[in-house]
Amino acid sequence: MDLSKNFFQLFALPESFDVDTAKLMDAYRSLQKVVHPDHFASGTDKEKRLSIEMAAHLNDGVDTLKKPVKRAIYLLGLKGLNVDFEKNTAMSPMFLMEQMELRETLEAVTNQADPFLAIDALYERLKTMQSERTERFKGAYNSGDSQSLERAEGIVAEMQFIEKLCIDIERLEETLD
Amino acid sequence: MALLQISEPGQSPEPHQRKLAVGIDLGTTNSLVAAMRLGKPETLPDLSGRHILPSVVRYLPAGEVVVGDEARDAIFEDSRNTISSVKRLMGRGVDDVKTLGDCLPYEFIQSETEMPYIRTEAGDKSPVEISSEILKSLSVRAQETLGGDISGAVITVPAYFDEAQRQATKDAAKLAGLHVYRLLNEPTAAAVAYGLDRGAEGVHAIYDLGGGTFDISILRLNKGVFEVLSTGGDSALGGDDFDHAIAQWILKESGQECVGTSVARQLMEIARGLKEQLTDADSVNVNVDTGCFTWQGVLTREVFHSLVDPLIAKTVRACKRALRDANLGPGDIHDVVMVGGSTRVLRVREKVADFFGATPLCDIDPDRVVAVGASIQADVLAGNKPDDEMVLLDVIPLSLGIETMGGLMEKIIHRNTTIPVTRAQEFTTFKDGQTALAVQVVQGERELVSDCRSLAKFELRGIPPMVAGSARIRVTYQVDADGLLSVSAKELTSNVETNVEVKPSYGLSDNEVTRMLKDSFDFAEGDKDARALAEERVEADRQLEALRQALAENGEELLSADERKQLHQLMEALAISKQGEDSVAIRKAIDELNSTSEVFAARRMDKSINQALSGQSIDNLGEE
Repeated sequence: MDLSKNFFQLFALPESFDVDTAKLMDAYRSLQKVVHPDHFASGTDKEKRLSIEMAAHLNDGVDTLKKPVKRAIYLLGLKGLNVDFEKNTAMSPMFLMEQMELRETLEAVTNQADPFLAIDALYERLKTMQSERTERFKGAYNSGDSQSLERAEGIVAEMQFIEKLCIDIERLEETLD
Repeated sequence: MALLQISEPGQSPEPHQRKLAVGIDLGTTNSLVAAMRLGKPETLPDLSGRHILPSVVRYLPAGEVVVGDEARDAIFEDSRNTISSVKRLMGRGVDDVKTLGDCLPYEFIQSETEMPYIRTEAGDKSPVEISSEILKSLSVRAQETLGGDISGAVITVPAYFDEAQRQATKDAAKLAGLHVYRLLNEPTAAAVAYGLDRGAEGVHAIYDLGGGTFDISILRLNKGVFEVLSTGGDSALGGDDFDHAIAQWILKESGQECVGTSVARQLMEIARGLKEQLTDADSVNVNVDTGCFTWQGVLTREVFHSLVDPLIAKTVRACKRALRDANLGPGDIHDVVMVGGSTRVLRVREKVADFFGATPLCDIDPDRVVAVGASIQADVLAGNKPDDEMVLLDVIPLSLGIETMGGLMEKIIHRNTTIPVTRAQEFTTFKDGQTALAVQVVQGERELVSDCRSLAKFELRGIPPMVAGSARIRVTYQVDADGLLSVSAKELTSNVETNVEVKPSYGLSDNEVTRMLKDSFDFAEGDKDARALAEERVEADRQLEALRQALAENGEELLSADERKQLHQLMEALAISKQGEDSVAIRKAIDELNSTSEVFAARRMDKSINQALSGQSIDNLGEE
């Protein structure tokens, strides 16, 4: 397997934000069928090691292309833009205000009569915010000029924020059990 | 005249070449072994016709070990030496064990690692040793029933088992002398049992409520590929907790305070009986006569529901989370497979049906379905079905990360990531001139390391002194298909490297493994060298056979005459040293053969990949 191919080439897909999930998964499955360690239960040690490496690479690829935020970052990376979550501070004040308000709502969840219901509502709201950004990212990325790509970078940063919040919600929900 | 036998297409035409492979369900309460017999997966009975082996081990003063029903009968009279539900102790530390409950009647001993030992009349025993007794018993049963040596086993573990618990299970198998083809998640095994029988394709939920554990897995079956989309659960929630709730209710109703361990056990047994009767009856009479107190009352179904509903609600919330992790809703689920004896409780089926909006499947015996699925997979992994393209893609149940400044957990691999997986992350030094870096490997979902489980610690030394923040240390985590982790760390500007196999803090130390191997009654003192020799010979055979098969398939095509000659010479050399008595020499010959065969392995892999890809592009052309 040529590990230097990018993930789109690896699965024989066009380099685009829109990914045909069915095609991606078909390619992924037919490749896993030949490289997965299950095939080498009676194989030599070398085959086993190689098979773990390759299966891991395929898993990494499919994980990157399947998840919108990861895929967006990866696409920008292929265009030479490295999104650095830690250093990106240029968020719009409005977005930051909204984030703070969402954080406060999250912290207040435990005081609600039915915290699980409150969590569901918050989660739905975040999902809507995320899909709206996904659309905007697509538009900016497809335009392709450097100004649009810079805009796309800003949108991804917001998407990462929202994703982080989703993870925190899941964490909170687990501590409630 | 005897009828001529014709084998099914795709199955080995030469029966003597079929390898004997078994699937083992190593359960909290009960264990089972299954194998393919006459093309069908079946659980194997003991000499008295019993399929289920209670997971109970009793140690007698002379060192004799009793496993199963006979051991279970002694639970009350000899509770200190009779160990049940040992699965709950696997991969746990002394502190974890203390929080597991007040009802464990054993005397725990601190060992040289964090692993707790149980003091018995036959000496101090670790959970790994106790589990290995159960595995030995099943392995002997399989050998007797199938009439030959077992070449390998698929052993099931709860999907929710963490790294330490998986490692402990693998150690137990090693101690029992079993070659493990793979550790398989129980829900996945259940899906294999159902999926292949029906050829069902779609998204399935596997709801597995056993005696001591709860698992939920969401998986997709598509063209022979089982993909676990997400998994969740609770490694300390099960039918035993239902019994416990009933026992607590009896104590409350009868006005009794805390009672001794033997009475507590009797109450648990009574509670279990009541729970089972309530499957058919609307209410049952309760008669308690423990010798310590007597009490009579009535347990209605309504009261029973009020006792167990909070526990069931906990499982339903885990189902909801698993669906969300898989990016699905309850409506996307094709069907729900019920696994585990506790799914016989009607209330459980009711609540699960409500949540998923689907009638739960329970037509394969929920106690046997896991072992049956494991045996199907074992048969495939043994190579008995060369045409079978079944691939099982599992996920890791808990996130793996590293401790960073301030005691924070930085995740490197998130839970529900498909395995095998390799992930790397870069770190840097904190102080000027820092030459070493301590790496603490952590598992769990919480933000603080102190709330997670520490798996291992190691140090990367020899970093050249630099200004703080300028070293670039790449830490790489690799998880194999069994869910077992290895970690390496490398300083990129100087190439200083450290590799560790993660030996969990709660696992066995090497000294302990050596002692146990010595203690194991199959290998008495002095037999250690013989064992090493036997192991290397088996390994040599395995490598030789694998290579022979590979050469027969495409040696001519992928290797030059010189390369083939070199391989054959090394194979010959290994075959000769295998006849000798020197295990080190055999190991050396295996290693030499292995490194020379690397090129061949890589070419074979590339060929398969190119074939798979070209098949793929033809498919795509067809669609366009």
